[in-house]
Amino acid sequence: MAKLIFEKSRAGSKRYDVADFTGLEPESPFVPEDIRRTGPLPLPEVAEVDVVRHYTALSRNNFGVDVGFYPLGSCTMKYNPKVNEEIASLPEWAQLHPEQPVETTQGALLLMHELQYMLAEISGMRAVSLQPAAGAHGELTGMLMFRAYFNDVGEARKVMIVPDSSHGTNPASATIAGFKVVHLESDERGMVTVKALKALCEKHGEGNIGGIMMTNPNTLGVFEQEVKEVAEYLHSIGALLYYDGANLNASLGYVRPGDMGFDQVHFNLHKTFSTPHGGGGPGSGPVGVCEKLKPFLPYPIVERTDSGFGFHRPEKSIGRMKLYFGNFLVLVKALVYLRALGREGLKRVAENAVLNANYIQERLKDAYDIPYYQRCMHEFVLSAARQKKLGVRALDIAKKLLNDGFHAPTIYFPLIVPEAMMIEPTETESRETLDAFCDAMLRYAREIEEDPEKFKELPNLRIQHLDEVAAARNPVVRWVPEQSKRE
Amino acid sequence: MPYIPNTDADRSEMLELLGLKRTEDIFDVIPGHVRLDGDLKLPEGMPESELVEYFDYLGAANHVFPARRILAGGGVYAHFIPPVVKELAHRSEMYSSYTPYQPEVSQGMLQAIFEYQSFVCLLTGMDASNASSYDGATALMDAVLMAHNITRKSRILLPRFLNPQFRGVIEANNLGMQLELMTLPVDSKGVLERDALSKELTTDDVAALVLQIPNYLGFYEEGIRELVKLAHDAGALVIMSMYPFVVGVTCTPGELGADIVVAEGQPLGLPPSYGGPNLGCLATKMKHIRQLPGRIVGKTPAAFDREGFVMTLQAREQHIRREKAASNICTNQALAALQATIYLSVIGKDGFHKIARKCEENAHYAAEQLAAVEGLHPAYPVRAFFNEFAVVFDDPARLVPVRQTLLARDWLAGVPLEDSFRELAGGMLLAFTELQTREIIDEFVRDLKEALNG
Ligand SMILES: Cc1ncc(COP(=O)(O)O)c(C=O)c1O
Repeated sequence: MAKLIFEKSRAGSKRYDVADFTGLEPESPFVPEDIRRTGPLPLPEVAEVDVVRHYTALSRNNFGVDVGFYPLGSCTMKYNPKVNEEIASLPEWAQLHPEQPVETTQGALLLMHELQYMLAEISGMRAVSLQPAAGAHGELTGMLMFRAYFNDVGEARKVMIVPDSSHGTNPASATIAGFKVVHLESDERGMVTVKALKALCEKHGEGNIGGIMMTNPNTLGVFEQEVKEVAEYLHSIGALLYYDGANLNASLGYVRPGDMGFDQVHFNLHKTFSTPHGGGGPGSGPVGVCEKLKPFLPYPIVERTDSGFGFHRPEKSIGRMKLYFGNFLVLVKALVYLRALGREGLKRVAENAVLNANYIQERLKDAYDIPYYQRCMHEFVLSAARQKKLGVRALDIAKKLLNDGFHAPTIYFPLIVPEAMMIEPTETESRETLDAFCDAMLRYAREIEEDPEKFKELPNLRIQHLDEVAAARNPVVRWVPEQSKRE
Repeated sequence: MPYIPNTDADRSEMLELLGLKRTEDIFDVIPGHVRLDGDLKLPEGMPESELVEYFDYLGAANHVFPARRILAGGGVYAHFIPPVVKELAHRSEMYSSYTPYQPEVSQGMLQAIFEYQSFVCLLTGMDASNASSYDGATALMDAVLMAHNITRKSRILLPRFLNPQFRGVIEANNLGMQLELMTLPVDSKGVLERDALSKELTTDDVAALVLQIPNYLGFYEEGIRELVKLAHDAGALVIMSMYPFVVGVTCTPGELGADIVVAEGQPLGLPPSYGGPNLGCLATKMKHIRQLPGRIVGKTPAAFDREGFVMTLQAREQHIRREKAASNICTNQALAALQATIYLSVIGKDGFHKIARKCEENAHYAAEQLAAVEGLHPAYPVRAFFNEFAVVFDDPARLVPVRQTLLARDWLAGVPLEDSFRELAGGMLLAFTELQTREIIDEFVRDLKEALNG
């Protein structure tokens, strides 16, 4: 472990100058005595050059798309174009203050208006709010809007259905919005069927069903064959359909959630539209809706006015989900990306994403189990069940990939596949890279059969076997200053 | 095509392996009746040279105020950001990574988050911080839900002068949470009414008292320690929402008795960015760590006698607990947290306290100068404040034209208050950072006088 920045502190090594600074008395004369600070906080004192070396060292100890292949299923780790970053950091965007009158931010509003339009067109929806900060936040927005819609039509529908292959954020979001979550079992193809759905709805009472949260292709990477029929059935009993847009990369320009019958979608701009993941965020999770949900959208929405563009509050709006207008700089990057690709480019994205995934699946299908083997979309899920019988788990294979300079796939998700490894290459990888990954995976399969214990050795990883149980049992989650340790 | 490396030759060989002819055939498993027929109505793509031009053209329709002439805050502030911060936070090994689920190759980001959590604990006076929430407002919503889960009580007491957008986020989410939100009244001096608070607390069903430091109008609630004691005596938790720099001059919320602390972290090295991305800071005491939503990084032993960092206590999170999770958050604001961490390291102990003092001093200098200006008065004259205060035009109708005139002189002057606080018609909230000098403030006061008289 490298030293913490706090451990590099040397008293007096960093002076920071503030123009026209006169406040020299040690304590503020302006703060009521009972809450006044009497001594400085124990913040670090590190010279600029040492701060630079510290964070440069940390970044060199981190794996990103710019370091190597990152086939992390469900996360769409595509290349992040540098032009996105360059444009979004211009003062015309980064230095805008959100309290500026709209007359002084017409460029920003035009940008948002254009993005609202493009996302609506891509998804087949009628209106878009750019406010949610991430996919899960979009889901929560959607669930609150469903709730508001049912309140408005005077129905107390309480049940939200999620397929057993769904992402954990789906049931969590529905719960926070006050729905009771029930799980729907997939069939042997890994798909939702009207038959199973209908049985479940009848069991809970069709009049209690608020709706379903689905993604299509689903988390197995499989395209739901009965999606239209599912929509027709749910609409016939007065329920709504929510589309988790995490997997939109598979279908850009070919299929639209609106045309499949969904009432609301969210987009993950940090996935599909390349605005980086940022080591965990910030993302952006705009929501799109059909006509009847439009009045419930969070505000503000950008609309054209007589004199340009302005902000608008939909008539039955659920209110505000976040400060101001969303993660604005992320919106800028998404629009740069969409403008770079355009109509045809988006189709090429989907085609190549799906082709790349199928290519890997085809190359690995004999060496590993693929429980739901069929034409996949942008990702597929293999199982290390066969390898587990020899004593090597999906986790071990993941770590071996790390050892060999690849990032690991998503593991142990979706929950319906034992020893799951979910592989999503994205369109921005070349066949050469895919081959190198496949070659490694095929070699592993052989090595595991020959000598499973030797396979688990990880000679290239400096840090390994981190004790997660100890971390949770006795959480050490911060640096503690010497003086408080003594107290 | 930009960003797609495969050649036609690659594609045809790959298709051959799949037994397909044309790339579009890859979609033949999609039922015909859901496929888009025709093309999306979208513009054609652009080469990078045109992209840059197009966004320059859009950007030219914005007006960028010089940072030291932005005298508006309300949650987002124009502090100075040393160039080294952007340079370091833009290392692409960091920004092109996902959430650090694989600690063996993510020690860099994990350590940075651990340092972030440590900084947040130092500023808030708490023991445990999450790895970030979306923004200050959603962090407050997380805190409210946390208080409800810890106490199993449902009433939330909000102060009158809470940031109205924070209040808005809680209200929207309450459609699902179904808690009872109460606003505590203030007297004619702007002071929270102690009797009203005591009365609310007698019912024994209050989950949390929320306080903002300083409050939305920039001043400190009177007798904070007594307010905290009243709440604690009634079995309620205390949530404080703070401006990160205020603790350069005040005790930390932890020292004041808070149980959960939130902050909008934008002032810590993030540009105003038209209001996002921001940074939601959320921290609590150790005894509540298992109710804290979001990711948490911990230090732990590793092989070969080494130590490293991992994401920990994941049993709270949605990917394990699904509908029983503490929260639905997945993607957070990690890069903003990294940026704040670097910023705090760069300004260091010396810078943090100087900046806090200068913000405060500027605001007090400005308030003194404005006291001599005819035609406006302070909203609440005798309250102690930090870097923001509210003034009200004697004739409320003057607010709009005066702000307009100042705008023409390149001042972003204040946040109008009437929409959120009806009693403050003709009022605006002025904010100061370390970026102003007395000379700049004198110029502002002159321009304001002229605008009022003109
Ligand atoms: C299928 C699916 N749904 C929802 C989400 C949540 O999105 P976010 O992380 O942007 O909140 C994810 C992210 O991993 C996902 O893979």
